Amino acid sequence: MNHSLQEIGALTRRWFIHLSREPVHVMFALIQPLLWFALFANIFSRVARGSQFGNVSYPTFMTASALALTVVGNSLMGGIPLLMDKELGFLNKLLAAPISRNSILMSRFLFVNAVNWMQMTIILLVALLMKVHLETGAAGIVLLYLLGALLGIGVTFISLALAFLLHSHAEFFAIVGFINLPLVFVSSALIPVSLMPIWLAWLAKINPLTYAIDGMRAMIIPGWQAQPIWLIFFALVLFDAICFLISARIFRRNLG
Amino acid sequence: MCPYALLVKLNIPPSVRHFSMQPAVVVEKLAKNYKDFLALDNISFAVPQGEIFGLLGPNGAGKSTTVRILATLLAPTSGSAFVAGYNVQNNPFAVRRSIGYVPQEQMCDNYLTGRENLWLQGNLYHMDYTAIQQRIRELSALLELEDALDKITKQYSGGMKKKLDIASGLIHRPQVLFLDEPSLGLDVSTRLKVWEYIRRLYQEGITILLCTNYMDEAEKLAVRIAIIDHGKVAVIDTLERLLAQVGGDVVTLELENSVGPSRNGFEDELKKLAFVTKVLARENSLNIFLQYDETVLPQIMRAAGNFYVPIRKLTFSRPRLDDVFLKYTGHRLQEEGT
Repeated sequence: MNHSLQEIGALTRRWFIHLSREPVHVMFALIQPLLWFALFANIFSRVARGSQFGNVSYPTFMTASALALTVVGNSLMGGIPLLMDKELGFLNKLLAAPISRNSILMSRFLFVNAVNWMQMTIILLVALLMKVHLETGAAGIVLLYLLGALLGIGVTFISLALAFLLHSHAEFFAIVGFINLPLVFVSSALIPVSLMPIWLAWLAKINPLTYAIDGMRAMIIPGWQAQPIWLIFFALVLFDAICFLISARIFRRNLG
Repeated sequence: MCPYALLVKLNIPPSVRHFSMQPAVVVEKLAKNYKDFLALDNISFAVPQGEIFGLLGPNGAGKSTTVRILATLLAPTSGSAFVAGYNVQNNPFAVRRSIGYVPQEQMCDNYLTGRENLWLQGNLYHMDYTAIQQRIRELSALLELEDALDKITKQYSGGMKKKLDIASGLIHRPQVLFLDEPSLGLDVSTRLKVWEYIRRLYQEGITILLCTNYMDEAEKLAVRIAIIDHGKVAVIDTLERLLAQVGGDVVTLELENSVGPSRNGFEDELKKLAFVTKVLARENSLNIFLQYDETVLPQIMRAAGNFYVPIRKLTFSRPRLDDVFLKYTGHRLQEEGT
């Protein structure tokens, strides 16, 4: 147990050093969510109003989307450093050390989640400046972070599995770029599911992003309940479990 | 302290302390297939504790494959291997604890300083704070890394990076160190330095398995050498005995292209000479293995004159590992891939 903690601690520290040594990276990590938020919060602000949007300002409606999309975007990139380690051979050095293979993966989860929460915090602070009112208070904010973590874990699993399946980071970016856009449009990020054409609504209902966003919205907008809260948590936990089961096999094959 | 380290501490000479010790590395009929390519073909060897053992062979001969199996990174197709007494397949964790692995690619993390790289490595081997600190001090003194320790390794020269790689392979005082092509891509003076460090490590009593395709590297460092070619071990012995086996000295004659049939008669005549042990004919040259005395060169020249064989160049050399390689594999190491 002590050994695991020492391994995970040292490996996680490595990712934070990487982050701190790349100021440009840090800057983008901070600015990107703001950019998302500024664009999202304003693009439909003149047309999207009324009860379908919870009778709140569009920025309030979009806060949950900005939070969830930032988590997805960041977590999808979570496998890249491991892919780089694989390409450069550094991964072999880690694998030749007497460490648990899980420690390598765990360090990525901890790091990615920490960055996710950092970015969520920035978005929430800016939302407050934009007079978005968080109705549910402190307990709601805790649940927001929890929803962010549940969404991030599943997506990070996908990203780490891709890092082991693919051969180069060029391939990786191509596939991730392809996943990202439909994932956003087939979700409740831009408009509520109730306003979508039937077929899109059906697709949106099987998209975990929809559940994360609806859950977050329920924490921000008074009376918003597109889905019952228990269903939202159930769906996200199920999503994480499925991602875990699929990627565990890939990890076992590649990490020995 | 393991009994071996105790013997080192007591200054027992290597020849005595290796006696009756279990070997540090044992490889038994190891084979590795990649689809239809046979990378390793039933190789066997053993490395006694405290020895520098050289695996010498051209690129693609199977050296790196062997080391990757010994470092538990690759499963063999058949056969077995033991490191520090542990089976690499049944007990990989014990093996990993006992070894340091320095692969041929550069292995430090470019975003970290030298010290941070070593800290990471120390933690992966579950060392405590003071042990890591003390070991970093020792290793940076041994490898002359002190000044660069707090610089980011992206700024290191190739030689510096290699030194850091070796240091990080040694941080946990492994029993066995695997060095895969340690001087690949280094300039001449850095190369000599690295050799000197490897000799220092040897004096400290660590077992080193050295993979190299440089003849001189094996000659300068290894106590015993296995020549490996096309996935097979051609010969294993101490450097001295390998050199003695090539039949003493070698005269190499470079011939004109247009020698023609008279050449065969010349070769037969050479083989009849009492001092000649072996004649290896190649397209434009002859390698004559012989026992040297003062009459040797005139006799060879006389034979050449009798058969009208024009000679472009004559070289006389004491035996080198290159000649051993030629004798056992039928080709020279340097020719590979050129």
